[in-house]
Amino acid sequence: MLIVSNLTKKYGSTLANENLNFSLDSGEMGVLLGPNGAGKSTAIKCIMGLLRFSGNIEINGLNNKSEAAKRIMGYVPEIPALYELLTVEEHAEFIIRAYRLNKSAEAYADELMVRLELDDKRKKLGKELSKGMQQKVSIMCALLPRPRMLLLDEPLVGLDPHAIKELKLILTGLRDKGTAIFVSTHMIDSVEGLWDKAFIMVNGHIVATRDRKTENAGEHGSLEDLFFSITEGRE
Amino acid sequence: MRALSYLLITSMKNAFFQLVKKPVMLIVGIVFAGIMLMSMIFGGSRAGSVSLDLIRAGAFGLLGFIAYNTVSKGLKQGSTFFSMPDVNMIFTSPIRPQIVLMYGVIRQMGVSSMATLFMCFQIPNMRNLLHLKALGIFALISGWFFLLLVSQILSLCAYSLTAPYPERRRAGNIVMYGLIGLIALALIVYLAANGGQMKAVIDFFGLSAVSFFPVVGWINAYIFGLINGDIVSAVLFLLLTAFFPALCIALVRRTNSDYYEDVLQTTEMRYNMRQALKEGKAGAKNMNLRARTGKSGLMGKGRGASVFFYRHLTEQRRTGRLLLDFSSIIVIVIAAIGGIIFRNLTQSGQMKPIEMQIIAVSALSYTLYFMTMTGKFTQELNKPFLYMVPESAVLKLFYSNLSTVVKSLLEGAIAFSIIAALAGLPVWYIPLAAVLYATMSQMYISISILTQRIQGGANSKILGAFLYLICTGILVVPTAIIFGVLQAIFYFSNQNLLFISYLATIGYNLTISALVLFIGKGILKDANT
Repeated sequence: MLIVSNLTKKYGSTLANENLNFSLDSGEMGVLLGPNGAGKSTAIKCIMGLLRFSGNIEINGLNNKSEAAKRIMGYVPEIPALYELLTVEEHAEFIIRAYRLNKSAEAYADELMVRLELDDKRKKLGKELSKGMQQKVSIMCALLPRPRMLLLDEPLVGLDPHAIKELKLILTGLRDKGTAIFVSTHMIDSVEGLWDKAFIMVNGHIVATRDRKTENAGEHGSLEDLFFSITEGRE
Repeated sequence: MRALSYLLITSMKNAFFQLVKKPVMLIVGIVFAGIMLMSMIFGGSRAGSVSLDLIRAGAFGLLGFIAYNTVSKGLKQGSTFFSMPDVNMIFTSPIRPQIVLMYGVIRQMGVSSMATLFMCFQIPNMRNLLHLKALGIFALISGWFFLLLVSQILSLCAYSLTAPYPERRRAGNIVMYGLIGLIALALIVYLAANGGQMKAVIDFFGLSAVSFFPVVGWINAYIFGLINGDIVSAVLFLLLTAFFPALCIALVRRTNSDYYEDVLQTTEMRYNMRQALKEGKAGAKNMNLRARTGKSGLMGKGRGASVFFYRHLTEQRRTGRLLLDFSSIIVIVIAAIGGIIFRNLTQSGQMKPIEMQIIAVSALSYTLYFMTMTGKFTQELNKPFLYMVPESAVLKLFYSNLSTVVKSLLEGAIAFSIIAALAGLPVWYIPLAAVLYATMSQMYISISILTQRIQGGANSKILGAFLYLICTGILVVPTAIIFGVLQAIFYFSNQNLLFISYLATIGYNLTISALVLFIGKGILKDANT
């Protein structure tokens, strides 16, 4: 579903991502771990087609910047910015129109609002919502087009425990239905037990990759151990 | 386009209902509209005779300054029509980037329209000072709108077309500075050939060749074509003005459909700044300044409370602006324009030097009212250090304001020197007016402290603005009375003693500011008050 080949991104003379290569199949959840400033958000933005880069990114065989690719992608940004003068349900309406979704999307929007505890905030404007609530609306907007490739940049920041639990349930449900999910985070324990592939990124490079399918249980210790052994230089 | 039109229409509809739902906002809106209407109908009864040629030259300078500022900012750090939600939800959706760009232009037209609304306050002046009829007023207001819109479009296009290519950016800079150099050179040659008088400067901007100077000349020619009744010329220059940005957008659409990155950084920066301002975070205004670290360590030898002043100096050095900032440039430009107008008015015998002195000090002090609220002190209050440092509260308040007062002193010295030189005012006027101006800055800061002291923990911007206005009325009205009465007394008794009115007013300002600092020192007891 997602193939990233030789992805390199420079900001002027600063190298944010260098020669990244990884892939994700349908029904897999990949996690991109790394310390602050490692280049995780840049990689996600490149995949979402927001930045120019060298290399190649394919979504289900399509160029990631094509309209066809965007139609099957969902994105939860790091900064959950909403339209200040649109209510929660109008955000859903906007996404339904932008992605040309059919009537069934309205029912799905209702379902998501209930699951994310946004139901009683339907008529609230974007500017009236707390940071956590804005994050939930942002998640709803990303899920509404039923994307086959979902990218989430630090999705758990600002969420309450119930929302974290619900989001994890939603993500595992989507994965089981064949959606490829790619999550960038520095909260390792939040994704422990959920991931199929893990990529550890330091200074713009992927320095370690783990694939749950190809390794025996507990063979390499926990993800946290691997992360700290790399980022803190421990053996 | 359905989604984007839905977004624009729904946002406008909700903005209207918000206004209806919040009576305070509605009242403010009605008062605002009322003031605007009244100023259109009754405002400005004083008929003057500022020459149209002078206004044309001034308009060229002002339009040129705004266009340069916008486009050069675009070339350096990018420009954007978009908001952060646009990036998160529209850029990532399957809507064609070309359509998204059109949506951005329409959105920018709305922003420019709002900025143009404020020009309507000047309608009485346009009528009475320039003797403009409806068509002329329309010309000035619409010209202003076109300039705001076109310079924003050019700014975005300039960045989008040049950002990924350093050589193109260099070429863009060469073209922009080349054009400025060209007009400066032409002006110098014209002045040399025509005696170097002020009249020659004014005449220069009336030359038909200047009308062909890109964008600024075209818009100026459109405005004054309409005012002078030359409709054909006005329409032709308007078409030229419209054609050029359209060409630039077409060029961006054809050559760089992958422009999202070009606006992303500026959009994020602007969003972060707005969020920080909303949350009252310190330094929000400085977020988009490019800072050079340079030499490490604080400037000067400050210890204890004075360290706040030296920290401000160090920060100013890093942003490369010394103590002066953009507001200083505005003040200096106002002073220069005012100086020229004063000179013309005295030469034609319509104004006396004493009137000029009073108007200059009063007008510039009035501009401080709006600028002091955003000074270093307001930022300082949102950081914990001012509350934590174990020093006298009065000293901490004094030093945390000192950089703003020194800035005002510098600014005043430059501005009043320009006015005095242009309008032929006595030399003693410069230092006294500058010090008076600086003490007005201290007064406004003190009022800001007092307002926050009265307001306590109640974090209401409307209440804060209301209290600030009331306190200004109570404390600054006596300043005006003392100054006005003493000026009148010495003007009619002994004009050589006019300087005493300045000294007395400065004395009043310093005494009241010191008193308010003592009353307001409790503001530093805890961060909630």
